[in-house]
Amino acid sequence: MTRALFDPRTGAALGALDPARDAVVDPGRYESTLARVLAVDPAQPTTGSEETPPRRRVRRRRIAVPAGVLAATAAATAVLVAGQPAYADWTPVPVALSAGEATEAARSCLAHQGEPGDTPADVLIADRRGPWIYVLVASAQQESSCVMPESLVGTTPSTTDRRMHAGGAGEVLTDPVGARRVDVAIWSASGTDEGLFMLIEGRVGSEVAGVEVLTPTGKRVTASVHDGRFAAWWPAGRSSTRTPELTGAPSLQVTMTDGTVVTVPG
Amino acid sequence: MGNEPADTGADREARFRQLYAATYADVSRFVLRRVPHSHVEDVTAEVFVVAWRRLPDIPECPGEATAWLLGVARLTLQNNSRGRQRYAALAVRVAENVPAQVDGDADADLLSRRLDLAAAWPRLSPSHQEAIALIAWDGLSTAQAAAVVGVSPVAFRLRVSRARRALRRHLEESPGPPPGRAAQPPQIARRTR
Repeated sequence: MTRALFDPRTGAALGALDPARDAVVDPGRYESTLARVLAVDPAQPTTGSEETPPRRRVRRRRIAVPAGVLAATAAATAVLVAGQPAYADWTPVPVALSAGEATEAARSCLAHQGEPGDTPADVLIADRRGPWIYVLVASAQQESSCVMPESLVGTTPSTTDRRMHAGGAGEVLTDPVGARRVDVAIWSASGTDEGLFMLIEGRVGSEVAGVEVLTPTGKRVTASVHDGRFAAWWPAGRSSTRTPELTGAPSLQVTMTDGTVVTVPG
Repeated sequence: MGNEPADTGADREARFRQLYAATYADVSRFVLRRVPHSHVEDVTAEVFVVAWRRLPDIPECPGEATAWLLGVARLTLQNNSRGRQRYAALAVRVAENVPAQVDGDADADLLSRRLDLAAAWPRLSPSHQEAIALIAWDGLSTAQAAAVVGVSPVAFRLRVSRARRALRRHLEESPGPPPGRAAQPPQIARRTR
């Protein structure tokens, strides 16, 4: 094509100046962008400018539900997940981080989103699942969460660093939650360089002591519950076509402070 | 087009996956040529969300589908220029690194031409940069490129020929290689790929 525009030498020189000359498709990015797109409800009306929600949210939906019922979530979509099993050594039961580690992880999470490290923020949840760290942070303007390998804690990753995922509810959630209620704010497929994972976040009422997620593939994932919040994430597994982690719906097993256990089907 | 029954969910998704697989590379590269690396993924996702929503509108023919997507990408980039003047065209950057050694033809004249071209490029108007880039780098035919820009093929061909003349003019005006450069060639080994 270039030859048609210019003499061969200029054409060759021009080809060499292509900014995408060395670009290769990153399979992780390919998959996570695909997941992000398919998570959007195609039936929603578009805005005039065809703009889409900012990067932080793959999907956002707030449902306050009584503990006995988990409202139907947006249709789960099948997402192609290719490649190796990811998030090796991830654990279904999280371990809370120390206050120091939590602060460091929160700073890295904010840095990755382009926020100054000294932004005042509350760490709502901070845990580790094997070598993987999760943190839920609330600053004055917004809440966000990150999943990162432990090696990134205490660093200031750039906003382009694909080893960390940043997402979350966006605005600060302040509506009161009923004592025995679970309010799911986020249920989405997300990803990092390592691969896709499912993330569920939300708030719990004062009588909720624990939340366990039973995933579509039968994984039991203990959520971290702290200060009226809960969060859990788990690898989305692999499949050559549809992966049940993404087509199915998880159910929640909610334990109340009085010992009652309620299972909420997805 | 347009008189097919509505896709079932599964059909729609399968069709989208096929489109995505066929066009992801071209779309992400198009975006990569025009915005900082940090924005590429978000903009690419925006483009494909539009495609996902408007799948029935997308032409079946792969080349036309790509042109459709690149048109959306171009609009997305323009819309995202918040606070700045909306430009009729988008400036396209050149590769930041001009390697000192070129695989293949490590010819000093070629190297100097590349340096001259890199210097001349920013002097082109965004409209001319875009016209050349769409053909030379994004790999579109004149008709497809015209569709992406939203002008008639005749108007686009005119734009391309003006762009070409402008670039040649800048190249002719550029100062010759500095004296030192001319002394290099014997040391550069010819490499075969």
